[in-house]
Amino acid sequence: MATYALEVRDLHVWLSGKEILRGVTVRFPEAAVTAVMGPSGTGKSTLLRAINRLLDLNPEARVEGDVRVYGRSVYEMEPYEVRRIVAMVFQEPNPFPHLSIYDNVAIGPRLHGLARTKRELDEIVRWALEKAMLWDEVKDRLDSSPMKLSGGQRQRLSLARALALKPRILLLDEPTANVDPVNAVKIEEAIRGLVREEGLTAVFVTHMPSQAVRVSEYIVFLYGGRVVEQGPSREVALNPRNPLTEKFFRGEL
Amino acid sequence: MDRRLQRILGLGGLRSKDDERFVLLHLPASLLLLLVILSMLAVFTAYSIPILRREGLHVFTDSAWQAVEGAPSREWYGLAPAIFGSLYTSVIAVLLAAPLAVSLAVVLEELTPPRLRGALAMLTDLMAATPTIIYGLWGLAYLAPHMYPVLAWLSRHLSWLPFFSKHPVSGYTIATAGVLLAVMSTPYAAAVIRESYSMIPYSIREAAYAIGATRFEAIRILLGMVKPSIVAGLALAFARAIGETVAVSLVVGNGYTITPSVTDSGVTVSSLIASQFGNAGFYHYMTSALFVGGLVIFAIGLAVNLAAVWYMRKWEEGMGIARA
Amino acid sequence: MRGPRRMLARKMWNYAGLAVLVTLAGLAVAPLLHILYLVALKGGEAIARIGLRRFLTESPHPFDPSDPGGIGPALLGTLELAALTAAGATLIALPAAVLISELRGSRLSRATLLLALTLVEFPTILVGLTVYAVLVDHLVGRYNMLAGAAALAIVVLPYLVVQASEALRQVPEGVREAAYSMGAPRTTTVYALIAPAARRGILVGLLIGLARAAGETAPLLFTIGGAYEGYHLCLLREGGAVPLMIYQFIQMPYQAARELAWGAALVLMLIVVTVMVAARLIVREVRM
Repeated sequence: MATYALEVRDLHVWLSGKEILRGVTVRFPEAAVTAVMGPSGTGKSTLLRAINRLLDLNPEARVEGDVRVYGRSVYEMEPYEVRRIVAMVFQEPNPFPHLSIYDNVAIGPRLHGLARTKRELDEIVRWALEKAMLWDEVKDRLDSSPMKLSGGQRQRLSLARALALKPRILLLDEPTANVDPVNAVKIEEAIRGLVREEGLTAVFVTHMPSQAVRVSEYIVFLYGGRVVEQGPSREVALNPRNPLTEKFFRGEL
Repeated sequence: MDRRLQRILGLGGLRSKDDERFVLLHLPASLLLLLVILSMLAVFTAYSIPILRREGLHVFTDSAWQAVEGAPSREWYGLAPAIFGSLYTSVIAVLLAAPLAVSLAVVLEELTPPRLRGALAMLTDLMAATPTIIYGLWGLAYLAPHMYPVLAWLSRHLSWLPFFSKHPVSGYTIATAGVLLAVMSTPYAAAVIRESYSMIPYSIREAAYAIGATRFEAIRILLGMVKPSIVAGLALAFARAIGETVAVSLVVGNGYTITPSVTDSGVTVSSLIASQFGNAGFYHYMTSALFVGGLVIFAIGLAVNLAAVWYMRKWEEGMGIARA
Repeated sequence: MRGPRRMLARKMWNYAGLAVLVTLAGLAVAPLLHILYLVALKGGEAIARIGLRRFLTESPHPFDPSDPGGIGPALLGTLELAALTAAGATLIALPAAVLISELRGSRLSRATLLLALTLVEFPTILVGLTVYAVLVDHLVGRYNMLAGAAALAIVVLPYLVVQASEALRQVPEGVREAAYSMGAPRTTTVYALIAPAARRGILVGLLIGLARAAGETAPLLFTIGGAYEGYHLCLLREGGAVPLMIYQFIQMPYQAARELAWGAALVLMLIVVTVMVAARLIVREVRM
C-alpha cells in the first residue's frame, strides 16, 4: 500500500462568491506523479493554489476543508513554510526578469537559509539546473538575464527555481502548455527523473490525455468542481468507469 | 506639400491632398511649442550675457552678493550659495522622499484593502494637486516652528556632525526646506513607482510567493523589478524640488552662505529669484545674474533627467527587453 | 541558523518590515491631512469672522485688524486667468495632441511629443521670467494679466498635450477605422468622430490643468503685479490672483493680512478639491 504525501479533504473553494471546488477529497501517493485532468474552468488551477495556499493572495477567495502535507494541515502552517515544501511551476514561464539566471535559482535557498556557504549554494543551483535539464545550456552564462533564454528554457529555469527549494512535493500547472514540443518532452523527462531518483511527489495538471498517460502513475479526473474518477492512469484511461471521463478522453468535453 | 518637407517630417505615407491639409492645419501647434522653447532659451541666453561678460565663470563660483544702487562697477554677484542651496535642499528632499514614496506606492498597491484603496489613491492624487503655496503656508506657519526644537536638539547632541554643527536661530532652515520639498515631491515619485509596480504581471507576483517568500520578502523581490521606475520617480522628484519656488522661499530662511549645516538658514536659486527679482531693476547686473541662476537650475534638472533616462535604457538593455 | 528559529526570525522581519512600510506611507500622507485640517480651521475662522459674502466680494484691507475685507478682486483675477489659460492652452494642446496620436510613428509626431516633454522640464519660475522678459519688459511695459495667463498657459500646456494625446491614443482601433470609413475629410473625422471618443480623458486633463492654473504661484510672481484694489478685467493692467495674494499677504507682519491669506487658502483648497472630485467622477484613475 502506497503512503500518501498529500491529502485533500472535503475542500470547498469560493472565488468572488462562486463555488469553484465543491468538496474535493483526494490523496496523492508519495514518489509518484498524479495527473489532475478535466475540462477548462473546472477548478484544476484553483485546487493547486489551495494546496500551497497561493489563494491567500486573492482577497476574493474563501476556502473550507483541509489540505494535509505529510499529515500536517497547511492551514495550520505559515504559508511560506508550506510553499517551501510544496513548490510550484506555472503555466507561463515566470522567471524574475531582473535577476540573473543564477540568482533566479539561488533566491529560494537564500530566503530559506538552505545553504550555509557560497559553495553549498553553488551546489544547490547546479543540482537544480541539472535536474531541470538546463545546466548544460546555461552553465557558461549564469550571470546573464533569463530574458535572453527561449520560452522553453525559461520554463525549465522556473522548474529549477522550484527545485532549488528542495521541496517534497511539486505542483505543476500545465507546465508544457506554453512551450514547444521539444521542450515539453524535456520537462516531462525531468519530472519523471525527479520522481524516480529523488522520490518527489508531483501533482501534474494537464488537459491532454496523452500527456497524462505518459507522465503519470495516477489520474484524478475533475468535473464541475468535484472528483468524478480517480485511479491508476492506465485503468482510468483505458477503462473509464464514469461516462464523463470517457467522453473527455474521447475529446468530447 | 513639398517632398523635402515631407521627408524631414518623416511623413512618407501622405498620399492625398486631404492628408496634406490635415498636417498643415496641425503643424502650427507643434511649431508653437517649438517657438515657446526656443524663445525661453533665447531669453535666458540674452539676459545671461551681461553678467557672464562681466564676471565670467566667477558668477558660478563666488559667494558674494553685492547689490549697490547707482554704482554698477561695484556690483558683484556670485551664485555659489544659491546653487549649493538648491542642490543641497533637493538632495535632502529626494533622500527623504525615497522611502516615503516607495512605501506609499507599495502600501497602495499591495497592502491596502480594496475597499480603502480608492480613498487612499484619491488622497495621494490630492497631495500632487495641492498648490505649492498651500504647502508653503503650512511650512511657514506649522512645520518651521515645530522643526525648531527638533533641530535645536539635534545640534545640541550631534553637533560633532557637520550637518548639525550650527545651532539653529529659528525653524527657517535648509532642513525645513528639505523636509517640505520631500513632502511635496513624494506623491509624484510615488505615482511613477506605483504605475510600474501595478504593471508587474500576476504570474511574476505569484512566483514570488510560490518560492515561499514572506509578504515583506516578496515585496522586496518585486521592488527589485521596478528599480528603474524608482530611479525615474526620484529624478522627477528632484526636478520638481530644484524648480520649486514659493514654498521653499517661505521656509529656507534666506541666509546667503554655503554651509554643510542643515540647521542653518540657506538660500536656493529659485528662492533668490523670488526674493530679489522684484527689486533687481534698480541694479545694473542683478537681473542678468538671476537669469543665469535660472539657467543653472534648468541645466541641473535636465542633466538629472537625462541621467535617469540613460540609466533606464541601460537597465532595459541588460534585461534584453526590446524597446517598443 | 536553521529550522524553527530561522522561521521565527523571518516572521519577525516580515512584521517589522510591513510595519515600517505602513508607517512610512502614513508619514507621507499625514502632512496633507494636517494641511487640510489647518487650512479648514484657520481659514474657516477667518471667513467666519469676516462673513462669507464680504470675504468673497470685498477688496482686502490688510492693515486693518478690525475689518480685513475680502479677496474679491483676487478671486476674479484667478477665475479670469484660469479661463484664459484653459482656452489658450486647449487651443494649442488639442491640435498638438491630435498630431501626436493621429500621425503616430512619424518623426513629426515624435518631435512634437518630445517638445511637450521638454517643456514640462522648465521650472515654472523660469516660465514666469521668460514671459516677464517678453510681455512685461518689452511689449507692454507694465505688469499685466495677459502675461500671467500666458505664463500659466505655458505651464499647463505640455501637461495637457501629453494627457490628451494619451486619451486619443486609447481610442480603440475599431472606432478609428469606422470613423475613417465614413469618408469625411480627415480633420472632420478626427474632431467629430475620434476626439469625442476620448472626451473623458481630455476633459480630465483640462480639469486638472484648470486646478493647476488656479493654484500656481511662481509664474505669476513677476507677471501680474499683484494688485488687489477694485475689480477690472483689463488684460493689459496689473491684477491679482488668489495664490499670489496668499504668498504676499502671509509675509506681511499684520494680523489682518494673515487672516486674509488663510481664508484665501481655504477657498483655493476648495477649488482644487472640487476639481479633483469632479475628475475622479469622470474617470477612476487620475494621472497627475
